[in-house]
Amino acid sequence: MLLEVRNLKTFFHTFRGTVRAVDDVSFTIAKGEILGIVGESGCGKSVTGFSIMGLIEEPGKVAGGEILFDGRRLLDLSDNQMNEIRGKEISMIFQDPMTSLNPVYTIGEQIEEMLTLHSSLSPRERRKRCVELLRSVGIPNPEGRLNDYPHHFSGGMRQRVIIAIALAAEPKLIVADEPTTALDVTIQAQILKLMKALVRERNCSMMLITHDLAVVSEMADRIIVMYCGQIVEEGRARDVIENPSHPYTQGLIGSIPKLNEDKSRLETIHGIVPNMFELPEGCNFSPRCRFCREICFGVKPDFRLANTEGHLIRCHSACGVSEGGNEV
Amino acid sequence: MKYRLLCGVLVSILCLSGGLSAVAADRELIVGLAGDAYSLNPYPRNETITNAINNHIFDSLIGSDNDLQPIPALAERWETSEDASVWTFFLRKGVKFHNGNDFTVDDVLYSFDKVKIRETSAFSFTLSTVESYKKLDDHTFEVTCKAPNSLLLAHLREISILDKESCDGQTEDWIALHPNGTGRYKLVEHVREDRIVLERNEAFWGDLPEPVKVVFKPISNDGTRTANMLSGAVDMIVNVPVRDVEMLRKRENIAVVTQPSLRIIYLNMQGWTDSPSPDAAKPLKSPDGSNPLKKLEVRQAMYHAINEDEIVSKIMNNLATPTATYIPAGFNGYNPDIKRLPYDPVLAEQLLDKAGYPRQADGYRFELTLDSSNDRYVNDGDIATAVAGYLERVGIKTNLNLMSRTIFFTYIGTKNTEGDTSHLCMTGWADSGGESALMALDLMYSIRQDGEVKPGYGGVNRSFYLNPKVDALIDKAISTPDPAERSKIMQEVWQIGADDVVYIPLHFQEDIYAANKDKIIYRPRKNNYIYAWDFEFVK
Amino acid sequence: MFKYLVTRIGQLVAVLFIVSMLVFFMTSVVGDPLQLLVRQNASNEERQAAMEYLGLDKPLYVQYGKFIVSTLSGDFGKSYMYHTSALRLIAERFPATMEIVIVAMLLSGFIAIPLGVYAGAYPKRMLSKTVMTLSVTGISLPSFWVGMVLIFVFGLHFSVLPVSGRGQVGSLLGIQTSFATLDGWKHLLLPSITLALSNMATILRLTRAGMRETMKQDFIKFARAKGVRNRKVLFGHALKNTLIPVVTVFGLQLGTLIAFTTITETIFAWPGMGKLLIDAINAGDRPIISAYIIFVAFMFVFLNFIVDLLYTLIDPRIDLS
Repeated sequence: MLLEVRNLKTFFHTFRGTVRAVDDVSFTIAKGEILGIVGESGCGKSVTGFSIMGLIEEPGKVAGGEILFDGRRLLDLSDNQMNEIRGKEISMIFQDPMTSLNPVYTIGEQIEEMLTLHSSLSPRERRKRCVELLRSVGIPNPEGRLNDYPHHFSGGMRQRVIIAIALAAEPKLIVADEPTTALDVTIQAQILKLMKALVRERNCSMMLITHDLAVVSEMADRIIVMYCGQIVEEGRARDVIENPSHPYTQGLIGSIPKLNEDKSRLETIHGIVPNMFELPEGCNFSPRCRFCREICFGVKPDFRLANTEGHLIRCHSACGVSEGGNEV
Repeated sequence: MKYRLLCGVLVSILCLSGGLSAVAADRELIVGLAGDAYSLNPYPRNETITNAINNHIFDSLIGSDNDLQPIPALAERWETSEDASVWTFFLRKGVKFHNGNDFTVDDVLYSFDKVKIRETSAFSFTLSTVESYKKLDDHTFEVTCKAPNSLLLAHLREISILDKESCDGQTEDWIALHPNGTGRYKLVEHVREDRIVLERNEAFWGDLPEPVKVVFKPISNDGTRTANMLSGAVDMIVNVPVRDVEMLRKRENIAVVTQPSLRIIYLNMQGWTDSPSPDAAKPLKSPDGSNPLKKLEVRQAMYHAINEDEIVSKIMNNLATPTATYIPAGFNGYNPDIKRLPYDPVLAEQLLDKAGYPRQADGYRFELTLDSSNDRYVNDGDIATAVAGYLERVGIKTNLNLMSRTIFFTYIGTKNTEGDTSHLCMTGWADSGGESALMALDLMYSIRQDGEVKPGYGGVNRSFYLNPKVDALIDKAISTPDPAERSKIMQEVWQIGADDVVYIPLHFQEDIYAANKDKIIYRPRKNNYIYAWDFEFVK
Repeated sequence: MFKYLVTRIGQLVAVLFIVSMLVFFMTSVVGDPLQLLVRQNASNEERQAAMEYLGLDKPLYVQYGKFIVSTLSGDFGKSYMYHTSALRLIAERFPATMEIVIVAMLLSGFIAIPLGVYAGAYPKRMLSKTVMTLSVTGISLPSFWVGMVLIFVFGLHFSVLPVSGRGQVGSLLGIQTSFATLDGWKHLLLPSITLALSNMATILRLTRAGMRETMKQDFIKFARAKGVRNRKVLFGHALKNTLIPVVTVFGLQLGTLIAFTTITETIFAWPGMGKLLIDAINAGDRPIISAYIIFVAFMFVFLNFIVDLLYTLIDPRIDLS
């Protein structure tokens, strides 16, 4: 296992109360594996990513659990020691390419920074490598563009640059936080394809955080679904997409409009995400779940197996109920 | 740890070098002045500090003793014709300029020619009474006056003698940058607003002063000047502010020296006109439209209304001398018999009633505006405020109009381009000529509201006092060569002036100095000129 | 670029022209220059002669015309007080003023900016809070009071520094300056600190505010995610972004400092331009006042220009046209 996250808790202590942004989350990522983390905004998926990187800032704090990366306990490391790991072993791709790059430095300088920090190449070798990286992410005329500033690039191009930066030091794990959300749909497909190719090429792992099921179904080997800071379903990508077993996942997939169907109304998940300061006593999803029973209101559910091996859900239902409404 | 060591080393270096520089050279004098000399070309500016510094470098034909009476300088002696209209001067021999050139009569005549040029000389008035001058031989020359003039010496005394050979054909700027005189000191360095450094002229024709090197440091801020005295950076400071006197007196090594100044503070009233200050923003208002200042009783009443002793003790901290006359004691014409009208508000009220200005329904008799500066004389704003208060108490409504000196002097000028704006103002006057006749010329000689009676006379006669008898006496005094006789005539002039209450005198300021008594003894001059040869070193 | 330069120079000329008009007309209605040139008891004749000499008897527009013509040839006239060229006087005093201004700006740059970065990055720390509180006093305490206190403490009480005045002048890189001697530096310290205090406070607060803004930006977090060390994040990534408003204020302050060191120079008997200005104003010395103001206007325009150029170096998004 490259990454093992066990019982991770990250809380935000605000004036109005404590938000349990990540509440007892455990998962693993194997070498070369792409793990997709799916959920709505505010479910804690980005916070999970930042917790692993050690970038949680006040008023947030990692409150418990363990993060094992390549055998090392990340939560025990000092900031200086984490700096050795960030960028080099684990790198991150941010959501908004328009704001992730520093506007006053050239992209050449920003890519080179990775190499200066994490490699021992000479200046000439570094420059050569920057050109190579730009080429590998599909930017035309890379030598010429090294001295350009971020505002000379379009959104899609910038994201490519960011991907280049993320790959520069040959990391073992890439945490990609909504990498295509801010891009046009047409560009999205290109970027995703690029990312998948590069990751496979280098045999590095990826933690792909997104709210977009379509993206995750394309890219991920395994999928985790999060809701209100907790994992509600996990399993192989195919299993989760084709046989969603948790009511929430079913709602998510059900609400995707299908071109070959003729419906007058789109399906939605009724209700809204609960107030994070006042979570329900029982299952977090209970107020919105159409299958909920009395036990769901009172007791927090544990993991139980859905259909196939490795496919788990956090639900009180005896077993998963498939989309057609049939009990299996 | 390393930082502390570094700081320690730094502080030690500072202290050490501070200590080293404090061991000043012997016979060196450092004086903190209130300002810098404006120019080392002695002619363009006529101003106390500039003149005092230039007098170190240059000499005149005639010098002054401490009573401001004339003594020989470059002129060894002089003779005058019986009617004092022709003067003959015999120059000192063997005198050299700092650059080695000989001093001869040509230098004197050259200087006279130059001092007359209005555009570049502020001293042209010194030759205004002179008709012509001519060389008699290398060391003698003759001056013919337009009219009998016994006061020629007081004027000639102000003309510094330049070296014709070096100055002739040079620009004014060049002359200012290369001062070359016959005086006791030579210029070493002048850094504007920082220091003037002078060194003793070992070839001086008279007694050598004690200080070999003199540094004058202009420090215009009062507090900083005092701080320099306390820290020992200077040996003496001038114009000590009244509030610092006690603190300086307490110091063991500092002596505070005071000297009655030549400057008198007094009130001017437009008493000789029917239309006082027609252009004033706040004009004089009286119930019947007449000018109350015309009445002698009113002027006397105002004099009696003011409690000068209280002003001196409360506002001036006893550092002023109430006076009955504008003439400093020791001047020719000083009249010791003139006495102050005593503080008597009851009498004042009676006089005002008698003058025909009773209190009206609102309690006031008439309304005046008192104009005064607030940044020129010592505590001038406070004094004016007090005066206004005293006048109010006897029923005279007094508007107080304080202004900065740049505006004030134009405002009250007898030839104010803005118009005639002040009927009552408080000013000072100082004359270092030593001759009260010269003062009377400016203060008492007739002048009318619409123009001069005699050109050049009555320049600060703001009352428009018009008295032909006094004019005649002044003219006579000026043409009386014998000082004793002249004095008697002038004493009569001042008695008349006091009787007529042409002005209301308040007090003479004090010049206050602080000196390092372990190092020097300083004898101040009446005219507040700081001369290095007035210092002695403590043995 | 050429077009830009031409535009800027055109602006400079326009500004100077307007300023010269304002200066001329304002000084012609305030104060009476004759006061300085003739005695109080001068006769009418003397006054008339002085007026003709100064050209004050001519109508205003004629006077202005002569003023413009002589100004264009660099002749601002002779000072009424000093009877020497006004421009020469200003040039004489300029180095002394620049000495304390340079030290004051160095203090601002090397102390205030790093402290501002620190306070912006770690607002909750004790040092940050202390520094911010002190900065309020820096802005609110009047400089003449601070100057006097410094004189008292360091000049009188501890006697480690001189009370006032400029120190020994030596030769440094061919220029005569008091930077060249230890005595010079001792004299420079207190007036420079007095001058710098409110400047430093302003720059510090501005830097801090800018840092707080910048630190919230995504690219900062991204830099951290790259493994960039904290110091580099602060002084490399964050600071350059924060600098734009700081550079603007720095430039303006530099201009203001050069023009108005008046109070500090008076307190410390420092022979600079500020003291010259206040003396000229007090005395109504028109040539010096006009020369000074035009000089200052020129300087401000020039500094503004430099600041604009600096922007492009700092922020590549800014385009001069």
